[in-house]
Amino acid sequence: MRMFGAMAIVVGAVLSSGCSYNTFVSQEEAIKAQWAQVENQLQRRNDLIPNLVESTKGFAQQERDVFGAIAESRAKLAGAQTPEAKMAAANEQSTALSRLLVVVEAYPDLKSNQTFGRLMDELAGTENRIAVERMRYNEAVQAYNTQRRSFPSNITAGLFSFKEYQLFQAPEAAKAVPTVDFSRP
Amino acid sequence: MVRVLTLVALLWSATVALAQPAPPALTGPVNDFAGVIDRAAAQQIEALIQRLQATTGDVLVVATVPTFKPHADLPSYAVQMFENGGRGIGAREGDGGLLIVLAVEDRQVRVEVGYGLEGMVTDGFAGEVSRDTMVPYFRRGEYGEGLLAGATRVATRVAEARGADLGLAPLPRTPRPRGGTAISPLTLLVILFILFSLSRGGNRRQLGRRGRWSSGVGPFGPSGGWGGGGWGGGFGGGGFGGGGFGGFGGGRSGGGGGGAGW
Repeated sequence: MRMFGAMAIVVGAVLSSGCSYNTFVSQEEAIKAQWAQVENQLQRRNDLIPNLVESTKGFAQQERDVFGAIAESRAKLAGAQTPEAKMAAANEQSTALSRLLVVVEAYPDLKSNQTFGRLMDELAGTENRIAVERMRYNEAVQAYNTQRRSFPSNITAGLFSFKEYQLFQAPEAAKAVPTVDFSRP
Repeated sequence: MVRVLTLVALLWSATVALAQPAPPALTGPVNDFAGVIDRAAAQQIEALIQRLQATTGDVLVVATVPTFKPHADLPSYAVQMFENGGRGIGAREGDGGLLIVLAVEDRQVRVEVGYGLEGMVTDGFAGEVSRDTMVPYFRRGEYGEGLLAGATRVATRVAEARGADLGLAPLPRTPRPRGGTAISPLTLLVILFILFSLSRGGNRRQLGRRGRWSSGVGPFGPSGGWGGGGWGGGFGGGGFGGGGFGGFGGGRSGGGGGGAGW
């Protein structure tokens, strides 16, 4: 009788965790779909950069290292294969672009340029899209990872080796917001 | 200026925490949580939104809040407000929603664009409408008029892109900072007064809807409460208050759009 009870518990656990197999599959698909959205936006930003650099270069030629960093991050992102590498490259690009924006502050001619203004709108929109899609990706990953570690679905996760997904962390330097003088028009 | 600031903040911003209190729920075409839109403008905005929805099926929603804080910034706030707790703006199919949200104390405005309209209302256009059309009004505290002007430009753009005509009168031009060529408030007041005098015998309630007479000044002083209370209540309950405005079909946005500050 006791053995029957123990067996019932095991069978019950396996059955209920068996049900979660499909949950894992759909959650994993959601993560993949959401990652594709993130990649779309990263690509969009990558496509925007040549224009931005082109319109900035004429005004701020001496800022060579900033343009160098941007070009490098662009190449790195294009060459990245794994999601982890892409996240790292994207964060590097964010850092490089925010440096450019700080540099641009010193060139009033550029700031009043209408083409540049539009590009800034587009860049701001793209940054915002990346932030949104990244947040949604992280939400999907979190739901999946939580399920993966919870009993009894962790049995299924182990049995079918569902791997852990990595969150897309924002740049570590996020706490240190660069100081810019915004008092000038 | 503020654009650059927002951009830098965005570039550095961490993942938005979910623990923050959700923005207030959107319930109709005009959600004046900050209480800054006058009635005349609110009515015109509503009429415009209805017309857009009837013409193209796209849904524009206008909202004002005192502040977006404690959220990190207006763009992330706008995305969450657009989601509206699952009852997002526009139909789920097609994601044809638009949100214009004004944070009065923060002196910022944003046009948040649903996925389906990103090609029509580009970031550059949304930024331009915010900067050049709405902000000049907001600087003078004319929030309702500014939102109406911005909503009109956005709605017109969407209709044009869809090959439809909203049948609107020519767009209100962005006003000059000081006394442009447009009709002065005084002239407007005189015209309204004459109109009112002519139709004195008519339906008071209807007149109240048309003009901005709710302050109870001049000849309307004695008639007391009809301007404010009666109409306000009627509006809240009817028309759009409940199920009348089917604009929240679970549409989604992905942070596209633009904004400005002043």
